[in-house]
Amino acid sequence: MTESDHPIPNLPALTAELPAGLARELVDALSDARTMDDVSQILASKPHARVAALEESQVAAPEVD
Amino acid sequence: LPRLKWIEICGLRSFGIEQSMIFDAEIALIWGGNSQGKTSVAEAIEFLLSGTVVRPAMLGGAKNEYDRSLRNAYLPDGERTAIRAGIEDQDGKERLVERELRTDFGRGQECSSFLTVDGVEVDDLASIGMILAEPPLRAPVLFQHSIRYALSAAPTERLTYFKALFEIGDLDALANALKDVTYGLADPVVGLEAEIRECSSDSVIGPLLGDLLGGEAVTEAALSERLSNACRAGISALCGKMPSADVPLDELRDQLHAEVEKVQRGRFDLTAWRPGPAVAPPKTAIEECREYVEAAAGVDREVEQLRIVYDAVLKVPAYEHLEDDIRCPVCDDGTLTPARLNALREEVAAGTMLRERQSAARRELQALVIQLRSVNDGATRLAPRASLLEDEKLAETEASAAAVIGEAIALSGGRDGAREIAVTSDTLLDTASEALKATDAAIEQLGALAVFDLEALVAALGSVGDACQASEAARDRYLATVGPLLSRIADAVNKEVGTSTWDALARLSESPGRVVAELHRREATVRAKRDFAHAHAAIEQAKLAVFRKKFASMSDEILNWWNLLRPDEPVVFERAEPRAGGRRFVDLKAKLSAGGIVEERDALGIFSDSQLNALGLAAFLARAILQGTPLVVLDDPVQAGDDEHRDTFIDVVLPALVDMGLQVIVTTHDSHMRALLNNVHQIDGFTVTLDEPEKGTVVIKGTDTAEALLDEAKGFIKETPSLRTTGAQKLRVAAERLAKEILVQKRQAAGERASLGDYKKWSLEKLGPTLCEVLDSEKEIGNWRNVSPRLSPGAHDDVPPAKNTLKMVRDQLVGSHKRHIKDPNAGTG
Repeated sequence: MTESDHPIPNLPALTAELPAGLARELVDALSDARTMDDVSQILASKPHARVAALEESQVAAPEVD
Repeated sequence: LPRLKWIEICGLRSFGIEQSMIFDAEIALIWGGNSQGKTSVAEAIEFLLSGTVVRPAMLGGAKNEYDRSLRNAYLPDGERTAIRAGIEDQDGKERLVERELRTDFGRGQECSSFLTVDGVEVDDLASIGMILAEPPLRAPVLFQHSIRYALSAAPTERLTYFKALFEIGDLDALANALKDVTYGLADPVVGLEAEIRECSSDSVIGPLLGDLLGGEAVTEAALSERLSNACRAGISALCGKMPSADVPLDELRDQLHAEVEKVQRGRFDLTAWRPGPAVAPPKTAIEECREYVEAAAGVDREVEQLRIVYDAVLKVPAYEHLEDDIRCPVCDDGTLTPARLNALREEVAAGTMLRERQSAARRELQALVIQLRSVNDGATRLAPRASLLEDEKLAETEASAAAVIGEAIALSGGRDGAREIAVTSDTLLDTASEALKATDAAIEQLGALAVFDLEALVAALGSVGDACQASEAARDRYLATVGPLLSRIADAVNKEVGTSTWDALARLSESPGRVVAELHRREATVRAKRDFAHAHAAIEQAKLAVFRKKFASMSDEILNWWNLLRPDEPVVFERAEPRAGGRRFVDLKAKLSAGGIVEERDALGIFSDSQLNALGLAAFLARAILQGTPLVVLDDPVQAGDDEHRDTFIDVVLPALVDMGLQVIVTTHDSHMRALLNNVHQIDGFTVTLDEPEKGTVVIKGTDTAEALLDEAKGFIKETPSLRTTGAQKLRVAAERLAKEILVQKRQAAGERASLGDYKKWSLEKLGPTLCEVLDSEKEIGNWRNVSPRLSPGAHDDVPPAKNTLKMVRDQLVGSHKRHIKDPNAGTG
């Protein structure tokens, strides 16, 4: 029961409570979602992107011989 | 905010024929005696907005006790039960809203209705800004039977009432979605994890390899060195000779593999059943060759054109009979020999970058040759040696395998699969050979700067690709057939001859880069899972913070209304709070403070009846405000006799609601509230009366008109003396008002400026004679002269006028009202 068109009307209130970090990044990424399906899809894509980024950082990082 | 501009009620509850009310002011007051239809007005608005009434849910009892309770019992068949209204929407446009009862409550079932806006069927009124709350109290209409719902319900049910105010179901859904994603992230699997674990658990190799699965970041070079050391240890253990430190890993691995297989072959020759690696088709595109062929063809066309020019020049007489040499722009020796043509071709080629294209195409073809030879080599290794086994040898092999794994097995299917690979590998050899020939031919033509048959080369390479696919498919089928069996045999052999660890080490050593990549992925996945778990926890925590803020906001709003309703009390409402930090219970706390002692208790346990009523009203108003409700309907909001809080309600609460832009509709049977409201606020007043139940409630515009007052007095003309005393007083007030209305009407008819205020503080004793001076009918004059004496107390103050006297006076006054005010054109009568 809200006037907001966002599938998560309380998203701004939640964002205000989150410190910087992955949780905040995830919530920020949902700002353009129009439906809960959008939300699910956006969230579903994140872990794999995170794994890829971590893999890349491992490769790029100074390695232990 | 949207506003209810007018309403028409037909056939609902006490209403029969259509009755209407127009709401111009911010506050509307609907006054009436008991059982005259006030609550029916509130329920009509509730029905209009929500399609039902909460009476069954609030009053309890069996559902069938409310059967046929909406439609007026006296309504003739065919007459509709419907509410029509004009609602001004958010954009200021008046919308025609109509809800018609389709089926009444019946057989314990809910009622049903049909709702339209401007003639178009809709599900609800959200589109015009009329938002409803959560069930069961959906419409912003407060009844006596609902005022304490939020208080009397169990704490968990109480939650439902306030739920929308701190609704965070969307955040629950988000947190759950994130949780699913986090736990849905596949556990990290390293393709060679079994081999790593096997080697790590070995007392010799484990320390050499290190804790590869422990999250340590290891480079390919470091792993290669560790694997080299381990392979040397393995070779030393198997054959007693330690390879030197400068032998590369590839050679060490092959050596180890060979030693392992040597040991294994003593038990079972697995190598005979291993196919070669799948053969990949040549990767080289032939784009450069294509460019070259196109350019070379262009050169040929240009040379042909130049030859025509050359012939023409030689036929020129001046050149044909030259005695001395001259420098000819076309040729040097006067003949068009093949050598000259080639020279011309070279010249043209130089101008068209053909040489550069020739070089690029040559590099491409040379790379192709290498790849085709690789295909050729791969094809020769593809088929397992088992494809050559004769039946007798196959039987021996089967017996050997059975001895290893302890059960009889058939390997003929495996041999058939191996033979299928052999067939496809032969085809592959043939196609690779053809492609090599086409490539060699192209290279030869290329050397002469000539055009070569590109399409033939493309076709040959296509055949190689097809053959590679076919051989890989055959290989896959073979492995699917015999792979599991061979693994069992390999495991059994390894166990028997003690080569498991060395075998695993050899497999690990095949591709250190792949192992490192998989370890990186494993570690990245572990960290991602951990990060997402932390993110989920952070969102849960933030969600709780949002909930608490919302709850605090709701509590503050209730407290705000409580303070307006009940200022300066020793026992006060303090706050609403979630019980023990949870979200399933709502506690309402009160504070007692006296003599310097402050105590906190549950409000329900210590509040008086009047306080509970005020708290229920405060909760209702808080909920309405926080939900942005544009309209509230309050059915008898203040208890009868609660004079102090009635004043607070009128003087403080109603102005606060109006200041917030809300439209307020109040129903009451309290004459004092009616009078006070009329004095304090600009209101739309209505009186509801039910003289003839079969015709239904009638709505009269105004609450202090003579008509309304006469109607009010009707209920006190009874046998009971105390009621008659009140009835006489009310008839006196009604008579005074009627006399003023007639006087004003007479003066205005004569062209004078006149208003009721001209007769302020005039008593009946003064008004009656004044009125008699302007009346025409002697009979009526006589009646008015007797009104005051008949209503005045007799010699004995405690004896009220008789019932018949009161009835007679009222009838006379009603007659005067009809003659002069209600229907003045009907005749003098």
